[in-house]
Amino acid sequence: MHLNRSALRFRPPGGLPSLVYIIALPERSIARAFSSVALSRPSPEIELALSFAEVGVEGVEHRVLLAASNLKRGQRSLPLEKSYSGSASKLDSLVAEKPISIFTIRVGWAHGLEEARLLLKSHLKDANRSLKSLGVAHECLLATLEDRDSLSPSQPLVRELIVIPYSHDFEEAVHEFWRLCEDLATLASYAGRLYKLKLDRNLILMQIDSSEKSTQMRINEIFVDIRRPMEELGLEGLEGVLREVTTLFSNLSILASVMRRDYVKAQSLLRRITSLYESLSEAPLGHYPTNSSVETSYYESLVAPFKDFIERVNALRVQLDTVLNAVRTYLGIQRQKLGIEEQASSRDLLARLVSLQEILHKLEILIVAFYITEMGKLVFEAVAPRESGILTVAFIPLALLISTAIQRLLHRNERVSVDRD
Amino acid sequence: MYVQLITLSITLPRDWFVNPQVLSEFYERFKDVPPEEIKRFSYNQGLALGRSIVERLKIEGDDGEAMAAVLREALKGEPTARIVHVGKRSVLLRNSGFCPLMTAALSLGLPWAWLCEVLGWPFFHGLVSAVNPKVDMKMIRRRAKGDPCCDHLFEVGEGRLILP
Repeated sequence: MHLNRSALRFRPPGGLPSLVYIIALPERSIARAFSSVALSRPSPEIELALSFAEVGVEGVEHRVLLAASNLKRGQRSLPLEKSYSGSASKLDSLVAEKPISIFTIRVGWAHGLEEARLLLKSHLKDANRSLKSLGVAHECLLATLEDRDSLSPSQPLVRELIVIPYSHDFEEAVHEFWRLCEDLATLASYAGRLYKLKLDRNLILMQIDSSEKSTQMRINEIFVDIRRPMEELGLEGLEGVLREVTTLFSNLSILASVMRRDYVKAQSLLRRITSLYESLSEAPLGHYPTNSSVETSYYESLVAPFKDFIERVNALRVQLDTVLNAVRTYLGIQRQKLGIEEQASSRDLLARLVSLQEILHKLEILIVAFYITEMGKLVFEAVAPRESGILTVAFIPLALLISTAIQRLLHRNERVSVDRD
Repeated sequence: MYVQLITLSITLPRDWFVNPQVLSEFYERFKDVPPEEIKRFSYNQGLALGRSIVERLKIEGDDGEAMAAVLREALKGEPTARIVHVGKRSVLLRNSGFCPLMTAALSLGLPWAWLCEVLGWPFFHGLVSAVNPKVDMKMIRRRAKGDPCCDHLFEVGEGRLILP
């Protein structure tokens, strides 16, 4: 993971402090917050330093306020709780904007790791606190204290740390301490942003259970609706289903895409945090889990709900897609049915027309035969008036034959002209 | 005052709650206006729509059934809204599922709770007030507060919007 070290501009106060406050601020409020810090110092014993770190997917330069108190030539004990609560509140009042994270570091100094462990143990006993995680990094003992209270939704991310450099050489201890502090300041910034992102989306992420359930129920109802016969559902009902499905689909698509954007941001921050912890190469100490493992899994737990949300929303989208496909298939089947019905009715009509035409043709023959017979009768009455009756009767079959021949001739001509056309 | 009159002259389309563009414009125009003024505007928008529905559907009476009829018509095609109870003088409207206002707010980076407070609730209060101006709207449950759904109880009372 790329971490832009060249962008870090950190001016550590000299010496080894007994306390360090790291306050990360949301990037939009930095100018206002830091202008007030630059104008005044919280108290004579507190030194301020600003850490500039490149943070976030947009590459926004993000600042962290770092304040160190009781800068002395190193103390071989850890500060008592009451000795820094006043400074902390003074610092809080200095920062105009609400921080996204506050890391408090209690600092000691020891000659060797064993002495550092003893120092930590006695401090925990005196302060009546317990450890969450412990490890060794940059020749410093690094411990995270158990949270005092559970975080309220409006609170920034809070971490209480203990750092005890254990190099025999004081200058070396100071150097290693500030190197670790720089990493912790960057971490406070990344972690604060990730925590804030999760906090901002918490209400929406919380909605997933109930909203998924009710959307699922609605989808099931729509499926039931589609299964109803066409006559019952009607075109209006189908239109309603389509409108509803489209609305749901577009809502879910928007939600999924926005959450994907946030998930990408969160993942990017998580990668930076993980990479930072990896660069610390923290070694375990005693039976405690390392700070890296505990913190990394905590930050992973902040990112997981985003992924969960996207997957569940996408599952609903897939179902809605199935609904849309079902509506399309349903409409296709209905159209096919109508086509078959139309085809059947037109075939009946054609058969009726053909038989009607045949009747007409027969009628035509009879009419023509009648006229020929009448004409024959006129001829017979003129030529042989006495036998005209018998001759006319005898002429009828011939007239029918002539009529049939004429009809065939005429219709053959008609067929030929139709074929030509 | 002149500027204010111009600002408040926009008319909300019927589908404002699923229309991100309208919500975005609404936010841009009203973000600096005092909440009480925006609420009044939203209430009047709801009232106007409610009256047009009453007139078009020839809804008579001022009881629960009449209130429910107006709500049903206004929320036609909105899958997250459902009337779960109709009493003699009350109606319970439940919005469950993914809130369209939340979706739009999320996609445009708008404040969700603000939109509910100054636009959503006063609008629906106004809508039902077209049937009975003395109707109270009580928000029993709110998704913007972390509840699983939004329950709007409309009850004949003193014409107030109540947020417990």
